[in-house]
Amino acid sequence: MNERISGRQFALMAAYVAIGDSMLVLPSIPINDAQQNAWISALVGLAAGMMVVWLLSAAGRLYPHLTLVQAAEQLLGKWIGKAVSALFVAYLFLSIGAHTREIGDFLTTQMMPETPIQAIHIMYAGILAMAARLGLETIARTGEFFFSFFIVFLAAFILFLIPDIKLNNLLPVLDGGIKPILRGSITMTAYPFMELAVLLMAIPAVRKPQAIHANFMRGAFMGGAVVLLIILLSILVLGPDYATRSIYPSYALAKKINVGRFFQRLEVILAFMWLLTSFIKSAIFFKVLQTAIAQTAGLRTEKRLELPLGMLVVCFSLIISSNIIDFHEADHYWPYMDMTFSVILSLVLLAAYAIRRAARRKGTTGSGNKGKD
Amino acid sequence: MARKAAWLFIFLLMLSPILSGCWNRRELNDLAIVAAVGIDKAKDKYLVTVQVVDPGEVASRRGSAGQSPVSTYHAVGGTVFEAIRKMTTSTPRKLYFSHLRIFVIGEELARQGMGEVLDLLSRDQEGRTDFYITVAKDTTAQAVLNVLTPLEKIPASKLYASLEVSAKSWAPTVAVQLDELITNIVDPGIQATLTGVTIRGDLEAGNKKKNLESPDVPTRIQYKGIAIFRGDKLVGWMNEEESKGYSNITDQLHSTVVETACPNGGKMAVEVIRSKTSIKAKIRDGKPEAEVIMHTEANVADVECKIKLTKSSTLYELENAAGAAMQKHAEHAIVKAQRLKCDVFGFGDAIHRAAPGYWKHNKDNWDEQFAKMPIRFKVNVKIRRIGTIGESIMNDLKE
Repeated sequence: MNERISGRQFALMAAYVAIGDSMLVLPSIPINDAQQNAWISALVGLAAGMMVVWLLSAAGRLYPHLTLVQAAEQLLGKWIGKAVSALFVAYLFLSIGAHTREIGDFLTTQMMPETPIQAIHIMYAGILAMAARLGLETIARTGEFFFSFFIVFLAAFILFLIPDIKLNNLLPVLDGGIKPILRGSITMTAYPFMELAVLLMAIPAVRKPQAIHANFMRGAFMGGAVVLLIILLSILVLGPDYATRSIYPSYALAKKINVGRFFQRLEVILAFMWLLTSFIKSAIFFKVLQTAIAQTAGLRTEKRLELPLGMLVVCFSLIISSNIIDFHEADHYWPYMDMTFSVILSLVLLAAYAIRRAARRKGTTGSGNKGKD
Repeated sequence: MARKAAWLFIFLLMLSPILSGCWNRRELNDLAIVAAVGIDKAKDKYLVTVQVVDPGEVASRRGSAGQSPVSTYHAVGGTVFEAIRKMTTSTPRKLYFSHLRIFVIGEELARQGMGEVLDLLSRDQEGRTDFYITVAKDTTAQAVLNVLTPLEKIPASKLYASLEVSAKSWAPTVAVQLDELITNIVDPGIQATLTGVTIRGDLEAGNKKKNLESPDVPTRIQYKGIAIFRGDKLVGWMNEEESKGYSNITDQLHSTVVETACPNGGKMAVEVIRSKTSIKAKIRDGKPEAEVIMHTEANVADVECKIKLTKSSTLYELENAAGAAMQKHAEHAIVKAQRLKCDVFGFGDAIHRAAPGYWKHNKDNWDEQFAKMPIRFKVNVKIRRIGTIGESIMNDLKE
C-alpha cells in the first residue's frame, strides 16, 4: 500500500467503523436484555470497548509498518500466520456480506418494499468495489469530508427529539440486577469496538506511527459515544418496550420528530446518517479484504480484485440467511466471532511477540546459543 | 475499432436499466390518501372503513364541483389487512396510509379487545405513529367516518385538530398516539385510555353534503368521555368531570376551566393556565400508597356572582375553592378507576420506580392492590391575575 492517511483521518475512520451499522441495528439488542437500564449497558460497553481498542492499538503498534496479515506471518511463522490470515479474510468477507444484507433489509423493509433486494445489493456492492478501486486514501478523505455533515445532522436529530424525551422512561435504575446489563453490554462492546480490528490492516498507511494510539482511542471513543447517545435517546423517547419491539428503533425515533407540526417526517436524515456511516464502514472492510487477500495469497498486485469480490459479495449477501429473523439470530454468536478476531487475535500476537523477545534475550544473555528467530 | 464499438455497445446496454427512472414510483394522482381509518367488529370479522381525501375538492382555489370532499370505502375481512386489500375492488386507486390522521375503533370491537388491529398499524412500513386513536362511543366507527364536517373540509382533519385543541385547552380529552397506546397496553403498571368520539344529531343527515348547508349543522361529531381499558379491552367510560380529573392526575392538563362556587352564592370560573402534577408513590407497612401533588397556576376568568375581588384575602379563598374543585374531579376519577380495578394513572409505574423490589412480587395482582390503595392529594393553586377589570359589574347591578 503506497497510500498515506493522516492521523485525523485515521481517527475518523475509527469513528465510522464504530458507528457504522451499529447505529441502526444495535440499539434494540441491549434494550432487549436490560430494558430501561440499557444505557448502563452501553456505558459498560463503552468502557470495555475502550480497553479492547487499547489492546488492538498495542497489537497494531508492534510493527507499525506492517499490516495485520503481514504481522501475523512475521510473528506466528509462515504457515500458522497464513492460516490465521485466511480466517481473517473469511471474517472480513462474512462481515461485508452481512453489512450489505443489512442495507438491503433496511431499505426493503422501511423505504422500498417492492424493490427486489438484489437490485439494492448489486448497486451497493458496485459502489463498494468502486471505493476500493479508488483506494483507502480516497475512502478516508470521503469520510473526513462527510463527517461534518454527519455531526450537523446528528445534532439536529438530537435537538428535534428533545421535546419528546420522557425522563421517567429511565426509571427505575438497576431494578433487574446487574446480569441483564452485562449481557446487554456484550453486543455493545462487540459491534462498535471489536470490529475495529480491521483498522490494524490500515496502520502502515498512517503518516505518523506515533500518532496511531491517540487517534485510534479518540476516534473509537467518539463513535462509541454516538452509539451510546442513540441508545439513550431510544429509551428516553420510545420507552424500553416500543424500542425493543421495533426492528429499527433509531428509525422509529426519527418518525417521532415533530417540532411545531413543521419539522416532521425527517426519517431521511436518519437514513442518510446510517447509509453514510455504514457505507464508509463497509468500504473500509472491502478495501481491507482486498489487501488481506492479496497479502495472504502473495499476489503481486491487489488491483483487479474488486470486481470478482463485488460479485461474490452480492451472491453471498443473498444466501447468508433465508429471512430477516434468521439473519438477526446471528446476533447471538456474531459478537463472539468479533471477539475472536480482535481480543483473542491481538492477545495471540502480543503473546507471540513477548515470547519471541524473551527467547531472543535469553539467547543473547545466556550461553551464547543463537535463538531461532 | 470493432472491439471498442462492441464495448461501448455493452456499456450503453448496461446503462439502459438505470435510465428508465424510478421504476417503482407512485405519483400523487395514483394514490388514494387515507385520512382516517375506522374498524368495527362484524360478527367474527372486521369491518374496515377508510376515509379518502379527494384533493380536487379540498383545494380551495378551484370552485368545488359540489361533490363531497372525502369518500369513504368499506370492506369486511377476516383480518384487517385482508379487508384493506379487498377494498381495491371498490377504490379507484391504491390506498396510501402515510398521511393517516385519525384512527377510530368501534366500541363493540374495543370491548372485545383491540390488540389484533393495532399490530398491522405498527408493522406496516407505510404506517407512522403520529396519528391519534379514538373510540367511537355508542356508535360504530363507520358511522363516525361518514359524517361531513363544516369549517374543516376533511372530517379526519377536523377530528385530529379538535382532539389536539381540546386536549390542550379543555382537558377532558387525551390525545393518544400509537406508540403510547401500545406501551400502555403491555405495561403492567398502567392501563390504556382513549378519548371517545360520538355523533350528535341525526345520523342519516350527517353523511349528505346538505349537512353543511345550515350554520347550525344538524349532525356533528364530538369528543365525549375517556374510555378505560383493561389490557386491550374497554371496560368503562369516564364522564367529563372524571376525565378532567384524569388528565390532571396524569399531568396532561395544560389549560382548562374550573368552575367554583362563590362564598355568597353564585358561580365563577377560573382559568388554569399551567399545571404540573407529580405522583409520589411509596410502600408503607408493606402496603402501597401514593400522593398526587398538583401545582396549578390560574387566573380569574369569569365572575358571575357578587364578590369583593380587589381584596387579596378573597383570592386566597378562591384558590382554596378552586383547589377543592380540582381535587374533587381527581377523586371522582380515582373512585371510578378503583371500582373498575384499572390503574389508568400509572400508579403501578410509580411504585415500580419507587420500590422495584415490591413491584417484582406484586405486579401480577397489581389491579387488586390498586383498587384498595390509599391516594392522598396535595393541591396547590395560585391565582395570579384577575383579567383586565377589577371589581365585577355584578356587585353594582341595580336591584
